[in-house]
Amino acid sequence: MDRTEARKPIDNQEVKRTARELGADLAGVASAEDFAEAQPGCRPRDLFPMANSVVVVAKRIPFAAATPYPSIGAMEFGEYIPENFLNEACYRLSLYLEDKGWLSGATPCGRDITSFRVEEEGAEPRVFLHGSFDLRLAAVKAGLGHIGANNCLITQEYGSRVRLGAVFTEAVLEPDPPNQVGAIPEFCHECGFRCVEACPANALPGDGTVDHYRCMVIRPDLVAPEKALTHFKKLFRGKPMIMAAKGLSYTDSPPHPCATCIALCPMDQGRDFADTPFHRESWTDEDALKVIDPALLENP
Amino acid sequence: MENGIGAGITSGDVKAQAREFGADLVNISSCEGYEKALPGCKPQDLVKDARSVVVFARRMPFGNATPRPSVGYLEFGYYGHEAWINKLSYRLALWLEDEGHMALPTPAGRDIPSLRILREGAEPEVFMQGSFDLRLAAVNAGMGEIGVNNNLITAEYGSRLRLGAVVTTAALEPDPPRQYGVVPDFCVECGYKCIKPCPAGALPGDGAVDHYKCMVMYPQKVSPEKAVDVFKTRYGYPELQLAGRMMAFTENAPHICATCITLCPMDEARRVKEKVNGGGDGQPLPVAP
Repeated sequence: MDRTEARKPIDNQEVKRTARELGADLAGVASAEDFAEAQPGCRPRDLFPMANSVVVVAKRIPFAAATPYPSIGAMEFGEYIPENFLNEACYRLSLYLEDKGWLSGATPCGRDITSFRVEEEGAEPRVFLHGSFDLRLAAVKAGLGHIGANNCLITQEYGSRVRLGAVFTEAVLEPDPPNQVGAIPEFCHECGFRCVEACPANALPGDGTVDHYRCMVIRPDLVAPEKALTHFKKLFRGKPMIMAAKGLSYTDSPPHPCATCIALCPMDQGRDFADTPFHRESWTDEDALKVIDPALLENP
Repeated sequence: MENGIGAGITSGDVKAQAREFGADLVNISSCEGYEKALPGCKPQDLVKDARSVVVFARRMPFGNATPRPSVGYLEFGYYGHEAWINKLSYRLALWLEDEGHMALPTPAGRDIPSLRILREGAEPEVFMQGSFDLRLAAVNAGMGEIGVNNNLITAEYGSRLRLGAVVTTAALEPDPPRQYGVVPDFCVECGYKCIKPCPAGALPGDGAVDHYKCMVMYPQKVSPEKAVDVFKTRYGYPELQLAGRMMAFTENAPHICATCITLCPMDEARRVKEKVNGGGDGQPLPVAP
């Protein structure tokens, strides 16, 4: 029997309901066709040629763990565990769709870095890294939110306090209404760009992009650019799949300890919990010395 | 909603939810009784306005808690087990959020921000600590007591468990705390079966542990200078970078020894097994043929 004859009908609502049952806080569907803005090789059909739809899911970080200064909670429950949770949810959603007769595949929830380029060396280096699939772009196309001035997805429900995952499927699902790509949303103007001001790296120009070098070193004013570039070249060396495998298993590097731009977004409904929910609202020099490898410091 | 106070969930609701997420044991402490915690490691240091700590335990399978090194212990007593508990903590924290309370999960171990070398030389002394003392929290929450193996000992599973916790602004009815800092009666009754088999000789018998000896496991075979050099490299990172590396197992494998956990006769499963096998002499379990 042709395998397509055994397919069970499935629709947008059922897939999203299943994603929620698997633990997703938010779920949306985008068409796999329209990913012109993606990096070469990173469109859904580059990764899974039979893809017709992309199911995008989000899981939130506990409010108390998304601190605007480095914390163990932010590393463990802002990165490792939500990523682990979403990867499992996407894995299970893929198998669920397969059981319905629609071939599907999941994409990792972060750390799947396949490319690192040094675009400029010197006193103010410029670097660019990207993952195997642009989850934020997919989330915008699936109508989950907009890319804000913090270069993160901003949702109505949780602001940027979410991590994303996605599943490619050959099922043709009705897409959710997409949001606009590439424009700073109105709510960022209303907020007045709190994230831009609070960023300890000064990495946000305010146009929705991020300076990758500054974001990666967190405190460019304390770090020696040559030392940092040497370190990154070593960390992200080799073929894309080797690089991605090392990133996925955290073999060579701990998680990024900064979540300031996520924590301070006033679009997060969780910010209603209390007026002053955290011990403080910004980084200190002492924080920087708790997280930055002394080997990279300008004056160790 | 007023920051968690007076909102309508009870200790019973929280415990039922934690059990549904897979906890074997769940107890609650208030934020009192943390004077013995290290600086920066009290619940209120982690969450401003913290009112309660929910502590839960998940046991490791009896067959994986071997009194000798085993691959099963590494996977199901460490990697998998801790990730599993962390996921439980994460889900419980989000559930408390949905109920209107701020909640912070704390990692199930390996969140080590520092290793201090207190003495070098032929008999090194080191001290390692986590970001939150889960064993102290478990005692404060009445789950068990710290035995001479320096581990939490519970009536149900002895020490054959790992702990997780969620610090929350919810004001929950606490369980009666147990005593901390005193060797429990059941250890005296047992006759300290964990002390002699400890391959490191790391347990003095007063409830403390020698961190250096425990870490190297065979101090008589290890060169102290080499070990201290390894520690300086492995743990020589700024505190939060170290914690991130430890949580990710980036540069070192899990600790291989679980002898003091497995031989505790307070473990119900061990009592049953000893009854069946006529054992109970504190010797390592026979290796399967």
